[in-house]
Amino acid sequence: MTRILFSVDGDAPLDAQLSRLAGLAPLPPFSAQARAFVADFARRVFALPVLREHPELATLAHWFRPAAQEHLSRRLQAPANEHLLARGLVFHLAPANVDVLFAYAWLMSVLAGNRNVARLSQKPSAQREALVSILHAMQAEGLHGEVLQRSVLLTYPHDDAVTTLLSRHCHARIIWGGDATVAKIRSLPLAPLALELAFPDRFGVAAIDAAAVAAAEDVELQQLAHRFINDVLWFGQQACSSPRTLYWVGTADTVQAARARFWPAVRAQSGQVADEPAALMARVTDAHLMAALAPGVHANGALGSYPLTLDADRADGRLRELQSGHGLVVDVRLDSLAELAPQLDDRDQTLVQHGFSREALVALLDRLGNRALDRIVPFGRALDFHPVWDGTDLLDVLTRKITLPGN
Amino acid sequence: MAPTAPQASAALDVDVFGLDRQAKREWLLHGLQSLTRHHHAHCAPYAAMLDALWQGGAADSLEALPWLPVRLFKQLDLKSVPDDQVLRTLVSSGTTGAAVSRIFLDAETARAQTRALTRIFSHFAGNRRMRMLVVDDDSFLRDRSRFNARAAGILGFSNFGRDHLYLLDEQLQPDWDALAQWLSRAPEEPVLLFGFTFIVWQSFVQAARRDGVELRFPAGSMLVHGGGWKKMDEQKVDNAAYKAALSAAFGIERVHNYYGMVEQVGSIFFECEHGHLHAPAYADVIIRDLQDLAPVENGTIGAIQVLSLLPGSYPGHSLLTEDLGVIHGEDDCPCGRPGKHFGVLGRIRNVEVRGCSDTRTVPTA
Repeated sequence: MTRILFSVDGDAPLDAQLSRLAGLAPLPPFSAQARAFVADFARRVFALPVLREHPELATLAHWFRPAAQEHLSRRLQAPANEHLLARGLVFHLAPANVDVLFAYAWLMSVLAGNRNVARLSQKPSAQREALVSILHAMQAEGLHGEVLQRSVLLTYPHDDAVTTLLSRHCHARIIWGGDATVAKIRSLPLAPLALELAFPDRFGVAAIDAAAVAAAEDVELQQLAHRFINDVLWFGQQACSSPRTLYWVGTADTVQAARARFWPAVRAQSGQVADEPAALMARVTDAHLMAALAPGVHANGALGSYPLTLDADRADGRLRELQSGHGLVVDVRLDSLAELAPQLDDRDQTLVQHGFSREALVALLDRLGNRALDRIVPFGRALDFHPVWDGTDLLDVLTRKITLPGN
Repeated sequence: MAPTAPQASAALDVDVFGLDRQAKREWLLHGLQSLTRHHHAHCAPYAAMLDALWQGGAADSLEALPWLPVRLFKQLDLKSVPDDQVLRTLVSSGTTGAAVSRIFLDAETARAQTRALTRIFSHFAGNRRMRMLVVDDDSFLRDRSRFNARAAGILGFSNFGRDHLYLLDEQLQPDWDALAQWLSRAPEEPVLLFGFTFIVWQSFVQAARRDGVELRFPAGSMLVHGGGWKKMDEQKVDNAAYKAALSAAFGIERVHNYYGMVEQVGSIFFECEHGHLHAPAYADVIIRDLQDLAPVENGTIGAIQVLSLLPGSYPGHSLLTEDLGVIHGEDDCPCGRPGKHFGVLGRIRNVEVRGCSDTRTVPTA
């Protein structure tokens, strides 16, 4: 049963919604109307009562404040012999667990001038309700009509007929979800001229220069631990960029000294991100599963620790896919950052790093030889959004380039 | 040299509620340590887990014994006997599509389970076989492909009765006429009733109210029920209200809940006359802190770890469950039975729902 969460004509059936959308011309990229809408949207997110429990909403609002929009618009400077238009109708399929992630692509698409239809998860969440309620409030106040009439948010149980209908009308389909979801939706036909972007399951890893930790001032160590906690523990460690493995680079002695400083600092602060008994059960189960299936993994402390850490001689995607998140980190020592390359595969998306030079990082990238790594960020930035995601600039998909007669 | 297999039957060499604190600790610790060594020698994944996470598994107290998270039996096939010695594979009655536990029994373990259950049951109910009313349907008897934990539970308990009547049809609707007729054949003789907690509530207590049925069971009749309280919690019915309803609806005054799981069939924890669950001599419970898994004081709520001397064919002798419980005391229950007495308070929120009585409900028209 399809349920319209937001539309200026909420009672109309889906066919009528699509006909209505088809009759509306896209707005120019970064139009004044779209900028005003997004700025107002961000302002209203900041005022949400649920902001305290969901700091990721504040991050979203901050990301779309006017100054940031301006910065984003500068990514779209077309050369003189090209002109940019919105893509058209963009069909978004939001992930089941993190509705907020989808909101970045959706708001960028609004800025790009598109008409947007978004399928949100069936599971009601405080974030979902908050985002939808803002649109209703704007409509009730008679604001942002140009943008609102180009926006439809809906939800429906997995239904190939509905997905196919929307896919036939769109100019771009953006899928956020697990590998199975992506595979399923990819099997449904898309309009011949439409583009598709899929964001499937990915993993995050972290690398740290042990010498930098061993030499850090106490204050610096506390900050580093705090950032690591944010990277690992938010979203139950289930975001695709949440690090699952921490690679220590240095000699055995240095790494031992660094670990002895780092983990107590992390555990002293980990209570800041609430743990749950169900998460505890999940990670001790995962730890046993990994011990049974992956030789070389062993506990380095109590199973009741939060986060729970396991030592391993090496850790690749096969080990990471046994982890379901919930605060479990595998600790691996490497002699050099270059040794990380053979332990990464296509599924590894984000490298969170501390203490390495740009040259060392680029040298690592040059050694990869596979599809691994789409972003390298400092500690504390694992969950940040970037207009380039999984290697594609979203604005390239959300707009199209028309070449002009040159000279 | 590999340690010799401990005889599961040896677990039954003591009186079911005959050991005090010190004697029981020594007896259990010795038996569980030898089970740990046995499974380490005969179950490679278990050995890998102990070596990686438990320093090989050596322990000098019950609290230090290694445990496995119970969910692991859904993810791994864990057995300590060759395939050709597996007599029966038990599966949990998970909801459709959910992963189910697989528990591998050899003849020795299966026999020990049956004997243990008999000891516990007859301690509470006596040795005489009573006429037995099963508050469930008997379709599993005809269709062995549906032989799951629920069917195993019914079969296990049905040994304790005679002249059985299965009250429900496949839609879990009672046949009141058949029941009245069955009761009329021996109107004075106490009846043993068995069923899963929620099915008894829905298809017996509530169905009688719905159908306007007024039946009195003979004095001394006794209901034994288990399988989990989750659905009862949803209906805000606690143990006291449950018992009161059975007394009011049918005049059944003896109601015993039990706590058990497919991963440790046989060593169930039976509820005494004072409403406390009791650990028999060959089993025990430890309550662990919900943040760091350390054992907690009596009276503190935590996750239930269950210990049992029975599992010889699979490494299930020490399991961390996802159930919440609290130990009321040890050797000091007003009923006089030695050992720990405790209560189960439901399941840790947000983990997959499992348990026998919660998996099937009456289809709504």
